[in-house]
Amino acid sequence: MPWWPGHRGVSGKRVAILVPSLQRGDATGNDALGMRAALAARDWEVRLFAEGGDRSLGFGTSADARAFLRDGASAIFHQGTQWDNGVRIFERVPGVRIARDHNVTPAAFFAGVSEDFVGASNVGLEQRQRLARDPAVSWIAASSMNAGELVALGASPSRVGVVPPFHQAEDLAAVEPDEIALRRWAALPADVLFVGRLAPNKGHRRTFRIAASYAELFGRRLRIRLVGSHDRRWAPWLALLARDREQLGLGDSIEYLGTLSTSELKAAYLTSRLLLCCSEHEGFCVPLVEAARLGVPVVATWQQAVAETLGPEALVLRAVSDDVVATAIHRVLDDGGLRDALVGAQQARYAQLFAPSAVERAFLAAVEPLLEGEPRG
Amino acid sequence: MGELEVDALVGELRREAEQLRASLGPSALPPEEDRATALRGLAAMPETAALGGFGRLVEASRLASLGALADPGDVDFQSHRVRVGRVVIVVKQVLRRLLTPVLDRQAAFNRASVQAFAALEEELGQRLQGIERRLIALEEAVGSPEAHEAVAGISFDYGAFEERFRGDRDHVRRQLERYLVHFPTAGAGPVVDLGCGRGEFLELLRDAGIVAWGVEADARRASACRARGLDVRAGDALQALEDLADASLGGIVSFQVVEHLTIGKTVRLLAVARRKLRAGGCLIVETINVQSLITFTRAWTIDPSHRQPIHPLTLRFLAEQAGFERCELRYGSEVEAGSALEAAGGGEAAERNVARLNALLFGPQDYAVVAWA
Repeated sequence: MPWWPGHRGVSGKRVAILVPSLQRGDATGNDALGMRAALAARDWEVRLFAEGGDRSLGFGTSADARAFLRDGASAIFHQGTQWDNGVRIFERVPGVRIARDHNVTPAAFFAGVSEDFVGASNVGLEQRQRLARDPAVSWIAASSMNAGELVALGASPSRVGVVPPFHQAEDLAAVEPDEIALRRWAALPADVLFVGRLAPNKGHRRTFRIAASYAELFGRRLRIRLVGSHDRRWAPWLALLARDREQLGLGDSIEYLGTLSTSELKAAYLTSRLLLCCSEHEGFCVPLVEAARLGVPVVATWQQAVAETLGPEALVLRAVSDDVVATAIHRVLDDGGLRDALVGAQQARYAQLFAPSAVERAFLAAVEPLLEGEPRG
Repeated sequence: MGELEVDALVGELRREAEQLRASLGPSALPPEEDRATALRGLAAMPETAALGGFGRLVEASRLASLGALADPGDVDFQSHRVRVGRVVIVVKQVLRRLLTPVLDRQAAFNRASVQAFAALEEELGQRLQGIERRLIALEEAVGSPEAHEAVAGISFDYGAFEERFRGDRDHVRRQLERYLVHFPTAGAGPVVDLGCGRGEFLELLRDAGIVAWGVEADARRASACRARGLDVRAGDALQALEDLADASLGGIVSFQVVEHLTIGKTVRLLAVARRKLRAGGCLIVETINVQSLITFTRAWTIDPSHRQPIHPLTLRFLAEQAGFERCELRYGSEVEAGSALEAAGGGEAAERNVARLNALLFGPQDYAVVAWA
């Protein structure tokens, strides 16, 4: 064993961050970029490696990663859906190995929608389980829910910490809203906003039924804007959403905005009266943090990570009918005092747990001792 | 709001939902299908039909995801081939390196195209709205007293008149600054300025980062506002307000407008404003303070188009009747120093009398009802 302090083989304080795809605005990408900035500020030499993404963000390829890691650098691996190449590289890292868990959307959500995604999800879950059982891997989970799942998969509780992800909420707060989008959407503000990909686990069908219930109970249609990417391979799912929309008589009250730039997303938040989250599976749910930062009240149906991110002083509705959620939406839209109370609670939680300084503190407190320790295994 | 209060709120919401549903009868919505059953039902659809449904959904979007579709980040480098898999992956990686610059340019082109289309659509939409409103205004104006006056040649250039007598823009801006306090954050918008004139308050809101737009009956002044970068539509203010979705605004302001309207139209304006404001939204209606008698020798009579003086208590009453929850009166535009009576040297009783007279004769020249939805 080397005797001089801080020795990392011949590498010194060097760490690789491995991420499947690096994009600004994407939850995993923002997390990886935040990690890079936090570690670099503590004099770590940090390199990002990805299979693809926005090249202007500066990342190396898998081959570059192998060369960088060969001489003993540590690695932080972003674990999500299937990424064979990344797992192979990570498993051969001779230095300290830390896995960042973003959870994996269970395959059941894609059954009957896309066999490709069922396969990728199952493989991703297998890889997650394999890494959880590897005693040389330490984990930073995005939520207690994720941490609990990792322990259930075989990870030792002493090797699992909880660190919220780095996010773009401050960028959103600072950026000027897109002028065209702002003018267009401000003319007819959305009653309800949902931010998240158009995927089977995100609760869009529930959102539609709640909207239909609202129209029955309160005699008007909610204007709902959906923001997020979609995948053509989910065509059956998208067709199902289109059918639901027609059957429920929602017509053009549902607007799908697609993928937005940061400035367009800012405009979408500013012109929306509340964020509704009916997601059935999340590992953390970054849009809740963005809404908190931008002062948009949230109404959510219960899901463990969603409830955890929002905290106890939030309107998280557990085991309730669509009518009750619709009534909650009506109350928040109509009751300025309640809206202010929700926003105040959200912002207090943001300041305490999710402000950049808080996330950075939690991240460095969890990760630096690991990086400065000896490799396990 | 503590945890117990959240629980109490949820309980309250459950009861309210149950009562509403009981009063309306059973839901007429189609029964909910579980995911698997619903997808099986769709499986009978030809793929083109399914994609057709998907297309209709996307049609409503701004097609902003076009750029993402060409994003090389979506490429999946996997191979199920046991022997040649590594070669396939390497070939894919090489191809991607070669194609990335092309795809990046394509993605940039797509994004630029989408933005250009969106901008064009926005501009055309606004122009169409403007034309429609002008048409409506023209149709409504035919047969109105104003139209007859114009035909008879007794109309006058109100824009030029206001330029001379309303005060310069800096002066008006300073006078209106006091109302900014009611829109403290960027989230207070959008705010609509009804009869925005030269757009002084819109400028203040813009400087404060609050989304706002205005409606102005005088097309030339609306055009002049647009030339200064303000979002101002020409047309009838009440009609423009009625066209908006209910509960869609954070604020509605109207300065020195209601005295030009009939009392019936003012009542209607207040009622529509209440509907269009979201809960907690703020309405400000400023007009001439008829409790200050000096206004009858100045602001009231100088403008021959004034129709209806409104007592402050009347306007507040009307706002309350329209459903505003909290209505307050704010007085402003103090008479300039030197106009009011001087009380010096007359003893306490005389000073009190002078104060009373000053209040009656030389009180604040404007007031506003500030009301919250």
